[in-house]
Amino acid sequence: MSKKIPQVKLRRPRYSLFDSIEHQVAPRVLLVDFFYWPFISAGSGEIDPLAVVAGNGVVTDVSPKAFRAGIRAGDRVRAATSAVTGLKVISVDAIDQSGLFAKIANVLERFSPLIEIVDLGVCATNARGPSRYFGGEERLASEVRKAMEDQIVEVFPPAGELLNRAADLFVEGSIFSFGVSIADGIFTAKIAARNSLLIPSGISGSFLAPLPIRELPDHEIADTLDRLGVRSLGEFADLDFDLVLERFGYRGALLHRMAGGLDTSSLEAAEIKEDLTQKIELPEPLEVASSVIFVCKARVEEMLGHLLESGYLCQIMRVRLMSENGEESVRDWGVKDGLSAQLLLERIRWQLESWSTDPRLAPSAGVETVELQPQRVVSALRVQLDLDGSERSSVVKVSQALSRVDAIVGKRSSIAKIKASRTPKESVEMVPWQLHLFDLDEPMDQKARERPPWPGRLLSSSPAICFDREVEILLLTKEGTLISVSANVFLSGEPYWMRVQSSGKRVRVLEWSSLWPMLERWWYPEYSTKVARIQIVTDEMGALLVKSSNGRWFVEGLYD
Amino acid sequence: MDIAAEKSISHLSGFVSPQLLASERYVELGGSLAQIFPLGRIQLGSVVLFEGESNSGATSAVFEFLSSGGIRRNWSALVGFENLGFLAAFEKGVDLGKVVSVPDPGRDLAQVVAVLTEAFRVVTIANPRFISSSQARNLTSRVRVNKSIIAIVQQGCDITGTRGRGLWPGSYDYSISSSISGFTGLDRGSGFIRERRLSLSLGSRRSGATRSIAVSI
Repeated sequence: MSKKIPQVKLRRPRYSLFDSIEHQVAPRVLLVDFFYWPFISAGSGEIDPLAVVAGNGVVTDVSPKAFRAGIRAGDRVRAATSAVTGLKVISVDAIDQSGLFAKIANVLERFSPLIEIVDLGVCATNARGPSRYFGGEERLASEVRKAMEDQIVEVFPPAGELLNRAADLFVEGSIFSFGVSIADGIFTAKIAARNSLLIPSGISGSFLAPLPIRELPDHEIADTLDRLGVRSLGEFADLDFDLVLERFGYRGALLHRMAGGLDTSSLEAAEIKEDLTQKIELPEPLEVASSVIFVCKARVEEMLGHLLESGYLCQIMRVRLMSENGEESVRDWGVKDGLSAQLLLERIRWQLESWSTDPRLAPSAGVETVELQPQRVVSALRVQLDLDGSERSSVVKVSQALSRVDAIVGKRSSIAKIKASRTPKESVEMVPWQLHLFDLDEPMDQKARERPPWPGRLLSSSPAICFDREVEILLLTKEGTLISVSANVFLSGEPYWMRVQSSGKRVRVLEWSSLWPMLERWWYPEYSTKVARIQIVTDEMGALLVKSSNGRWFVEGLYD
Repeated sequence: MDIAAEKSISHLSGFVSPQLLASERYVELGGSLAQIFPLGRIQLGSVVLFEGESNSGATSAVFEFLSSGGIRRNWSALVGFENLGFLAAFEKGVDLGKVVSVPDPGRDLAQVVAVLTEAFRVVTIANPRFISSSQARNLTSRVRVNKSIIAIVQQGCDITGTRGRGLWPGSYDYSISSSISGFTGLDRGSGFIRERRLSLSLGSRRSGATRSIAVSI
């Protein structure tokens, strides 16, 4: 039986999404980009093949030679093959999606323990520490480049052969060419990698400014901006942050920060105080990666499910594999939007495959233990839980739906916030949903629960319905005389009838509470009013919260 | 089956995650509603009707629903609610950070609800006035696909003179009727309302049975 996973109890981190996009600085990132990775992994045995990668009849990747022949990503495959003779078409499905790239990315581990595989063919690591160690960013970049080249030759024996024939394996035009860059944030680093640039800290904004708006990773938003006349990243970055947030939502706001060189997706692992480590002991040592994955599946899903239920997403997970003979493989895996079970299992598989096929480090026995140690968790307050925790629909979905709804209705949807106040109505502030969604505010519940004991605050529960416009009534005694509140806060008689002024309807008062006196607008002595509140129970209209003000009575709320 | 085999099967079951069919997906409820819903859970893709005369506690019943178990953890939208006492909802345990209030969409109600069900797990509508039976049918099939829940509140208010004009013209899976049966804490000019007794009864279209419960709120 699998051990029951203890419920994760974490203090909600004082982490604000809004803070992160407004105030954080972009981390220093070293990034390696293999521009033609699909062609390397398809293993055509040529340095410069005339080939494209295609899926669904559309070209997705173009080799340098095919590019020179005029083929572009997005072309129809049929048109491309008829236009260029001898064009090789590689199916997307034929490309090795597994641990091949992980093996290349492994090299970065010699420089920094934390690696993020940004995409197949693109990996990144934190540059700050290692560059100090290697004596400067330039030195670090050239060390990384050398190590990468060695690894390519080692991992792809055909590459080694080709190297003998052509000394220029890594020059421009070869599918093995790659870029190494160091810059602030992954977005800037990825662009800089095309020319292997080192962008000094703090000038990303001016580096990105002249670039066309289409460089944004979200084509839909880029198209819209283009149509609106925003043509460069700099023009986009100059737009007002709040306006962008309103028009394009959270995703747009992130892009806006990126365009300004402030991509804050951080690689640095945060300290986690509570131990969330899960150790999965396999029933017997297993050598085949897929059987390890199969056995781990349920536990991984359970673990991430529990985290999610407690309101957390794991962004970086340390995976430690231990063999029966005590060998270890440790690796941090990061995914910005949070690791789902499927993504994590995929990464465990990559790690297993690259470990077991590494000639120097391969374990001498089957894997016995898989240890998962979350390195960085973020609050997933805005993440919708599905019942089994496996699926999630994010803020993005909610904000898209609300944008559409607001456009249809022509008014703003809002979210209620509770603040300390004396009356049920004043305690609620309706804020536009955008503000709430993008501002991961302090835990409202806690703060409001400790509402200060305002004088005059209701001592009872609040009415389920609070009327926007107060409804005037009369409170009458059995004999029909009007009831008023005396200066020393007493009722002038016993309520027996209640009459709604607008409809003229009269109902019986069955019970009533004591009076709560309160001074309204006390900060304006000349306008201040003495009011008193009372709860009454009627025979046909239920229980009501009623206010007396300047000798008149109003219904404020209904205990529905 | 011998003990060893049974043991190894229960051992293996720890490694296999259960496969749920789409029709078998539910949200667990908590609190009082868990006691009247069959097996304490509600099927995704359902339409729930909250009904009652004026002042019969339908609003409190909605709060019970929104603060209940799995529903509380999901995003929900309130459409066309005016005068809602959010402080009371908060006191009842509704997570206001996940509840979005959409202003009355008037004649665009069906369209708005359709958009909302794509992102929100629960969409609650107050007195749906402008909705035709064919639109209601469309929405019902849409929630089945989206695995969301539509809740409809049909209740008028004597005090403002609004009647529960809006009636859901379509079919529904559950109906919850409520009534308030009494108050404690008041005594002719002293004390305040400490407790209300709310009785809820659930009619399920599927089982045809009715189950009731009385809760103090």
